[in-house]
Amino acid sequence: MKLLNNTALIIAFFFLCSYNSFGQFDLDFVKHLSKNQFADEHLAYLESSALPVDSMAYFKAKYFIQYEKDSLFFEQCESAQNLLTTDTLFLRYLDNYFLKKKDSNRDQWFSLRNAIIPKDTVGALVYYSLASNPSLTDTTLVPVMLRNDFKNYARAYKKKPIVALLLSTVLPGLGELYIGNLRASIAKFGSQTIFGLQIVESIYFVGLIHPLSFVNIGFFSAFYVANIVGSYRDTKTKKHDLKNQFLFHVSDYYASMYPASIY
Amino acid sequence: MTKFIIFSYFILSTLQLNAQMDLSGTMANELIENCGSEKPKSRSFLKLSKSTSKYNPFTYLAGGLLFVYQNVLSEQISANCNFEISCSEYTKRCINEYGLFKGTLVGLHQLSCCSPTIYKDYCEFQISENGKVKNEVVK
Repeated sequence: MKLLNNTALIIAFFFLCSYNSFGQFDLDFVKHLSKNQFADEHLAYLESSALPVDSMAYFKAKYFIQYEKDSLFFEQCESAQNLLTTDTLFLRYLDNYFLKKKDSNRDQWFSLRNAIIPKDTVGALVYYSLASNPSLTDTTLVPVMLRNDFKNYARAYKKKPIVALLLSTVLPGLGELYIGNLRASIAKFGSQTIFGLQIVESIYFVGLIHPLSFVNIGFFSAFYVANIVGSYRDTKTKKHDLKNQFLFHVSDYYASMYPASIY
Repeated sequence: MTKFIIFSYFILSTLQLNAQMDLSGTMANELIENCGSEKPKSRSFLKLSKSTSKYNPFTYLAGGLLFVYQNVLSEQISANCNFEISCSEYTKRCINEYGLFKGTLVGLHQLSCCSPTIYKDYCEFQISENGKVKNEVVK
């Protein structure tokens, strides 16, 4: 009976030991793998760990963000939602990270963030909403360091592409000047002037009905239409670029003001 | 004796010449090997994505002209564009994406803006490490 008891104890001891080691998850080891950028080992360790579904998704989300696999991160977000809301440092890191990312990913993250924490009115979310419609925002609400970028963006936001198009039609380069591209406007005006003078010269020396005049008129017309189309396109892209520039600086500002990290 | 001296002089000078030739041969081989290690730029012909552009002969004419410029003229005039995707390459990609008319106009717009100080019109994040403006064809 005593032998049986001992055997049962030994079996129970080994069972508990093995069960314990199987379910153990070493966070320090994960931090070490993350810090030293052992990507494959990191993923293999996470895969082999017996974590609950939400914890597994949470750690995988962190892993995918570290290695900039945004689409895979979003796949994990739904399961990791509850844990994400509690991790302020990681949320800040995600805000700063996605402010510098391309539009589609940024929009996806902030709509998701809105869904997770609907009443959050602090942090980068405010600046993201400011950037969505700057004309409705009081400039004094924006921190001083970001105010210049914000003013540039708000100014560009009011510019109308159709006005730039019409101005370029009146005088080549004027549309670019309207949106604040001084160098581009000078370059365009200069090139158009040279082409115009070439036309005048060729008509004066060889006449209008001459291949040289046709070539010169063709070049002038092509660049003239390109200038009109380009001004229209540039007005749109300028808004987008200044918005990105502002959000870049917002990200840097928040990174310097508040601590943010993956782990 | 004089004959012997003249003969030995010729022998020695020939040997020296041979050595020099060998050396120059080695140097030439090294130069050829070094030149070969540089990756050639991708100068492909148009890859049209729009089905309507495939039946327009002027698209192929424009593609041909750009191909000749990139492969023959560009290197001769040591062209150095201020944009990361050079004006000719950008025009080619625009023609691929938008078709001949719009693609050419967008390409000409970049060409007319291309000046050494153009980077001042762009935001910081759009300037690459080598001081060129990052540009891409928006799909």
